[in-house]
Amino acid sequence: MNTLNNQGSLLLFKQSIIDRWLLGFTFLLACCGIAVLYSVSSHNLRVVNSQVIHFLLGFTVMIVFAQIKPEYFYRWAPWLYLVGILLLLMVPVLGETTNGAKRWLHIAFLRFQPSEIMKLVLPMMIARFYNDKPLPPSNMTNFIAVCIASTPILLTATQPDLGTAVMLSAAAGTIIFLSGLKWRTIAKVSIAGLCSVPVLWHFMARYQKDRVLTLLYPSRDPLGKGYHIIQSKIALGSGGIAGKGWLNSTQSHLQFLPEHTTDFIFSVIGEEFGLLGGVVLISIFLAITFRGFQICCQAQDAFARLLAGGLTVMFFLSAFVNMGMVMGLLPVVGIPLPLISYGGTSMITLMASLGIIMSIHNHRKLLSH
Amino acid sequence: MEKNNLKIKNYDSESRLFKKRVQVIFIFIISLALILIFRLIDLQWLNHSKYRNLALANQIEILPIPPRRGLIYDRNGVLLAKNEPVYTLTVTAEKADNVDETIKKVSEIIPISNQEFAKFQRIRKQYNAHQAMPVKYRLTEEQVAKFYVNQEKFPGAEIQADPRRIYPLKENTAHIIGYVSRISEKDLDRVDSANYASTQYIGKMGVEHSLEADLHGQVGYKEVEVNARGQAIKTLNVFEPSGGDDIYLTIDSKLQTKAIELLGKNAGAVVAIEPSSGQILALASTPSYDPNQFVKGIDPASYKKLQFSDKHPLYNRASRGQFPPGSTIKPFLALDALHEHVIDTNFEIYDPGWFKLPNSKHIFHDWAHYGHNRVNLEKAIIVSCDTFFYHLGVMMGIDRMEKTLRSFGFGTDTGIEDTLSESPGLVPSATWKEDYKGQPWYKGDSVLTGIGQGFLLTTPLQLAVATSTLANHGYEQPPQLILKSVRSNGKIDKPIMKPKKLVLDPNEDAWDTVIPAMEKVVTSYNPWGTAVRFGRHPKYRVAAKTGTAQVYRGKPKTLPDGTKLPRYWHHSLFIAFAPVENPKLAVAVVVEKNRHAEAQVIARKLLDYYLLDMKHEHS
Repeated sequence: MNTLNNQGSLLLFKQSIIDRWLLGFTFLLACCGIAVLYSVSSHNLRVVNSQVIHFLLGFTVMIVFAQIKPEYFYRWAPWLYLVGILLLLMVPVLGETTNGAKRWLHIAFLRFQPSEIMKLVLPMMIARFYNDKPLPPSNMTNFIAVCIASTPILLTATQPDLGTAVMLSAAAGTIIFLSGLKWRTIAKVSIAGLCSVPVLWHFMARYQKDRVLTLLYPSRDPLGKGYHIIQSKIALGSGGIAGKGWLNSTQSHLQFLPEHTTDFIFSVIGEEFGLLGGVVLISIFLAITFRGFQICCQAQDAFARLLAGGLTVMFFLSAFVNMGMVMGLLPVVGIPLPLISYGGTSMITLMASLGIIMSIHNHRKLLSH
Repeated sequence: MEKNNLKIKNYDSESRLFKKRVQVIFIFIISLALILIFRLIDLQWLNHSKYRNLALANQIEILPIPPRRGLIYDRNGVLLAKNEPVYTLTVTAEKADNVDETIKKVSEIIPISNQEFAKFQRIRKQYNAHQAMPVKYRLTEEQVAKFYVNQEKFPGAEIQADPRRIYPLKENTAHIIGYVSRISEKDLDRVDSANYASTQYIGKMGVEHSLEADLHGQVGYKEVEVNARGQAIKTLNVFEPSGGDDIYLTIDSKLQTKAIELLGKNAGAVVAIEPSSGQILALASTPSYDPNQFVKGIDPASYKKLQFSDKHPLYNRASRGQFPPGSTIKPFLALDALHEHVIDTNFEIYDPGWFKLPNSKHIFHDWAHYGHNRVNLEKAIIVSCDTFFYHLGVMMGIDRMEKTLRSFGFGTDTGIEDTLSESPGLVPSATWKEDYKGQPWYKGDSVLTGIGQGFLLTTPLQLAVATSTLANHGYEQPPQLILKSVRSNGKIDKPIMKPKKLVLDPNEDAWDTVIPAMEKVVTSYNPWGTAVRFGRHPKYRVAAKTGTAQVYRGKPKTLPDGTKLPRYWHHSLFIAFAPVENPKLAVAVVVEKNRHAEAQVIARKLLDYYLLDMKHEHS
């Protein structure tokens, strides 16, 4: 990683090796998350401490990734992709079952979800694939790209982990769109997609259908799945414009949500900080996204800009899907709120993806001329 | 990367296209963000007062109401499993000013032992502030009354009344009904957790386990308004739970109790079946255990005692115990030998008291040292002549015998396995021995199979079903344990009766030899019928066969006075059905390690009880 050698080591001090905007917003989000976690966990310092450790780990990973030249990501992409697919294939055989889904692998002392790794690797692989093709791409090129994307997506969806599968599809779709897919093709695919909804419905698992039905009719199952959405809306709505204030939420206190530290943490933010807090949070997510797009527009080769674009959109969509779910706009799929929900895996993957975006930014000058 | 496809790629146009696309996506993302913000405005601004009312002043809590667990009755409506309220003292941290203070005050009128207090301290960390923590279980009615008089002195303390399962017949029905006990995490994985939201017990064994889905019922819930402290103010809506099905078993609790009583301190099993319907009237296994202690939560020491007791009380011998059938197998082999014309009724052998295969030195002894002289089939059954059946075993061969025994239902479970977790028993064959022992089938193995020894294993349940097939003259009526179930709306479900299966043609002449011979096992003085302890003069016609199962081979160890150590004693077996002309009951009795043919005595008393004492109840 002698990234700075040809420019002299002085650069290390002159130009920050990590993007200060991204760093600043990331830090802000994580701090908000930890503060809310303290409230939600009923002042449980153990939860807060381990989240701080998750953040520090993620931060280290981000710094490390920011130092790696995009060229290396380009070179490694196919191998990482193959390893990722292999790991995904191992899940049904060796995976651990939690809540009826096999998502986790336990290798030596590491316990992780291969589908999370795919969130980084799949965008790399597709971006690399488009890099040496003339853009806008031909139909054949797009077809191969769809094949590359659908293998890990289908493997993830059958675990079943619909949330991650949706995120992978979003990242892949974004990159294909950014590569310059023709509008006419987009229209055709959308119509075909709409037509296949009934077919998809047929193949969905029982619990997935339940979630969609529950979204449409929350009162259908007020004890089970509908209960979360009803209570989550009550928490948000009762927060009002200014919120009840930090540590003052009453809804989380009643333990109405089984996942109030993870997937449903936004309902507590809405309750304690109100509309203002919610809008500020959405703005921070937007700001990170804006910065991501800026970096991707400044990048000088197709690989870098497609990768940065895909990762940025995936970051925002994770936030959108999570908040949409908590507000009762989208079905309940297990996607945590980026950098805020409790949990190490998603924290580290997201920080890694931000690290990659930083790396693309840092190394742009070295690529020109 | 720069070196890639420089000739075909147009970097400038690509870059322009790309920037356009980024703009499109960014607009898309801004609109998504706006959707979120509009939704927040809708929830938090426009509808704020509605949600504030729901949340702050009057929060709606949805409380599950557990369904009533279905009751279990015997065939005559005698309760075998019922629900009774038990009272638990609880404290809710949120409602108490000081939990320890409250407990201290309560202990002034309801004694709380140090042990109970220590247990409470251990578990209290698992509870949230608004959850009721159990402090003392099983309060008496008097304690409950005292508590309610002084309730306002104990902030946060409450008494919960929960239904608890009671098995009134205790040991007598333990192996059939099984028991419920507290739900574990593992149990929750295999049921719908929403339906079990407030259920505390789940069936773990026997009928309670196998019919869990029917017995449990459907959870109900009520929506209550609670204030900010979580206290219920008003019930808004109630959706009543629907109770589980009441189950009626085919068991006759009187006969069942009698069977357990007759087995007494012996380890053994009794299975009694009504041949015409296949309904199991009694299925007893001793020693037994009190299922009620599992409902209360059995302490580890008592559980260990049950688990490691050398007589294995938790083990259902009637359906899971595998015993060599001994001589009780002889009528079945005899029927088939006649049917297939391996021998006819006039076929005779001379029994010197032993049997030897040609070209072999090994001697197979008859149970009677000096033999039975000339023996035909009828006499062979009456006196239980081993030598005759050694011959027959060799003449039939293992393939023939295996087919016969399997057609009578040995070697496979009888089909109520999900309730009683049956063992299949074992009917050996040449290929079986090849596979499992790595040895070829010897003629000597056939010799032993002919008298129900060797590798052959049967369960008491299988023996009873096969005996009932004899009583039906060749029709096998598959056994049945569930009589009917009554749903909470009164609808009655009867299990589909499995069709009869013809094992051996009832018009066959063989029956006229074998069944009378089985009658003479009881009544005949000359030759001397083996069922002497059954008694020669029952007040009904009974067909029976005795059996003794050898467990240990080789020379038994003896005590100084010459008697064998108990573990070398043989099992005593007996099968019978009566009355012969119109069979009402088929029984199989096994008594382990018994030298006194106790199985005969038990069968006699059971048949007397059912056919004479209980006569008016089932006619």
